[in-house]
Amino acid sequence: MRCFVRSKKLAAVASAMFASSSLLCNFAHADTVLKLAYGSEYVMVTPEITTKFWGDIKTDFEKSHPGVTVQLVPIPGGFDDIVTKVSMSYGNSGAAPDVAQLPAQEMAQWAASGYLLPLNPYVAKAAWWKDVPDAVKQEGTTGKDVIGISQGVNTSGLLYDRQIFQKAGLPADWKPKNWQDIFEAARKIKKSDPNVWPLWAITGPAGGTSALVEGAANLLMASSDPAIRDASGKWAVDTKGIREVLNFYHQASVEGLLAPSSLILNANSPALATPEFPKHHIGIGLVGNYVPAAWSKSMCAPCWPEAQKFVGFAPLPTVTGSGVGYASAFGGWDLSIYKKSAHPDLAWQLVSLIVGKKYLVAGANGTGFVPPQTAYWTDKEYTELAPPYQEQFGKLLAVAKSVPADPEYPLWAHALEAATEALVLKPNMSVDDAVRMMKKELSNQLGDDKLMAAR
Amino acid sequence: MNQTTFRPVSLVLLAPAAILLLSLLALPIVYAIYLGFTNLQLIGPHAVNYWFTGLENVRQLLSDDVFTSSLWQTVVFVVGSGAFGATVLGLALALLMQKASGVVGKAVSGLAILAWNLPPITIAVIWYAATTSGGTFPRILGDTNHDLLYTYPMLVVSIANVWSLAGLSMIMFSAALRSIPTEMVEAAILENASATQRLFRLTLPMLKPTILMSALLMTLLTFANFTLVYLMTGGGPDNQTNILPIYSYLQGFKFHRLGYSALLGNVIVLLSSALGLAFVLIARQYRPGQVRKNKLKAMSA
Repeated sequence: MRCFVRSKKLAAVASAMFASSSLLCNFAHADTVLKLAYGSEYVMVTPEITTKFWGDIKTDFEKSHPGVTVQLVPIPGGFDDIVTKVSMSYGNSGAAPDVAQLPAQEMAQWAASGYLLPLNPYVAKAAWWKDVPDAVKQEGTTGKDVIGISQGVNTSGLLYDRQIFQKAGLPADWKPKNWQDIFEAARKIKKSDPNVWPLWAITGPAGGTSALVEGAANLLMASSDPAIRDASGKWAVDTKGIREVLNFYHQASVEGLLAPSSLILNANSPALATPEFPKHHIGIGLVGNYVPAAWSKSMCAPCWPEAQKFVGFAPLPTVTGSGVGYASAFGGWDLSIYKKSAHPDLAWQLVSLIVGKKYLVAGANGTGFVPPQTAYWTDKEYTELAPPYQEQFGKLLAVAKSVPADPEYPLWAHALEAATEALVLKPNMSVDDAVRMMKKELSNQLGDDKLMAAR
Repeated sequence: MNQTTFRPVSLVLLAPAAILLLSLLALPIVYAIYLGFTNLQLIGPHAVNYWFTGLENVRQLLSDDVFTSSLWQTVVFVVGSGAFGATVLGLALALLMQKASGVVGKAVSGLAILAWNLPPITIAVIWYAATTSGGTFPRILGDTNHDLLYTYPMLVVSIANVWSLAGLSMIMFSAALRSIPTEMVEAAILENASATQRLFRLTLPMLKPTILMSALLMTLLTFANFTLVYLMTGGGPDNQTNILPIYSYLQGFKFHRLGYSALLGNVIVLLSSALGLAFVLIARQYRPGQVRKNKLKAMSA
């Protein structure tokens, strides 16, 4: 704020008015504009929910901060479009948003460009920071810098269709103990009804890094060796965990258990299971928590009030049932502040409003997020959106792991997605071939010295 | 420029155009060439602090297997569906339309032109829906769940490209066919030449310049047809439709390596320039009137 007082006379007038300082300051504040960028089509379930959610935030913030204007910058398009458009905005300080909603798995790259403000001094004073699980904090941290505050995350688990299960002679309260149980159930489904898709597990590079977090990364977290990168920064290629993931897709492909390639390898694959479950096309689906949330009355995309009757939930078991017995990957969207923002304190206040209870739960319910603060996992406003799924998926966050916040991660993700895609498309391809393919791509892009030795 | 009519003032008059060309065409091209030799990233450590890396990107390009296969796929797509497919289908349609009744001919011509006028997004959606599970072609072939697009990706995107370009090719051939003198066709019929003989000995030789022009034009249009392929397959599956424009886009906007992406763009500019040059040279060599005169001379001799 700049209050220029040019002369004593003016100062006298000003002080008279400043009986009413707020009026003067509000007038001076009128120049303060905070740009707030967010995905307007990809992140939340419907455009109407998006418009209302961000519009309400703007109204609330402007009301509590007279003279400040929040300029909404909606970014249309899919995941990659958002990444590209935000990157280009950051390249021009005049257009850069003060606060931006960013995909957490890509954030390290903006931080490496020097675009993001470290938020450590702010979170140190925030009472709610201790309620954020360590894994979620880690997702928004690069090195020692906290660069993003989670707005919500997606966990993944198994949903199964009880109507299809009944026809296949499978139990209505199915509890798979390991991956073999999943395959056995899928085989019975295929035998009982060749027209349904026994297994839904998305992959393929077309869906970008988000398709990995909603698909193959979950399998890797549930494998015998979930490492993606070792302590020295080398990337996993020929590990037992990756071989188990590749073998999952290989076996499913060879036995013809997977849903059509055009759906599970689609650029929009993370969103495609949602409308297929109500049609009873999918037997078992490895899907994100947003899928059942979308069927709820408030989202209706599509409406499916009797979902609870037809669709059961089971956490994704580990490959042999070892450890805690189940696992999940998670990925979410964070709020970050531009390093050169002229109003970092105001920007932080805006972030604080968005991650306060009102908008954190409303955002989770409008997006299909699990709220990233433990206090809200059992909050009725959250759980009653789509019972019992909200609570079941929410609890997965206690064991879920995030992908590395590293600029090279998208390259590794692409290589694993391409190798699994090849196995889906070519049942004759061996797991060894897929490992070689992945290794070749990563050697090309990163160099041999960046790859972990086989283990 | 004619020396006798040259006036220095013409330089002043030409200056605005020259400045525009320099600032809007030459400089961006030179800058793009320069970026191809840097480590610029869209996001990451080198998004702001990037520098000239000499031949590093070129070395990587030469050892990049995906680039090699991308180059080959570009040739297959551009030559197969553009130069060959669209030209042959356009020619076939134009020949058939000659014999078709007025209404049928006009209807088919209208549809072919409509296909050419459709925006790439519409063409991509039509062919995506028709060739994936539950679509028209899998149903016709008796296996509803068969994803033809994912089994034969290059073939399907090539057919979609041929389908979209054949209308333009057909218009070119229809115009060229009308310019073949009827007396020559009548003479051939009087000489008892069969329909096949008339096609291969008279019609096609007379159409040679148009065939070459169509082939080159279709090649250039196909080269630029990034949208159709990207919307249908995104370069996949398994890099099977990863033509150079798509690979350049993926490197720049998916892997965020703008420097390497710019180098791939430079390769595309070189290839397009070579094709454009060939187009201009052939167009000069085969001016329609000149060819016809030469042909008639040869025939009368």
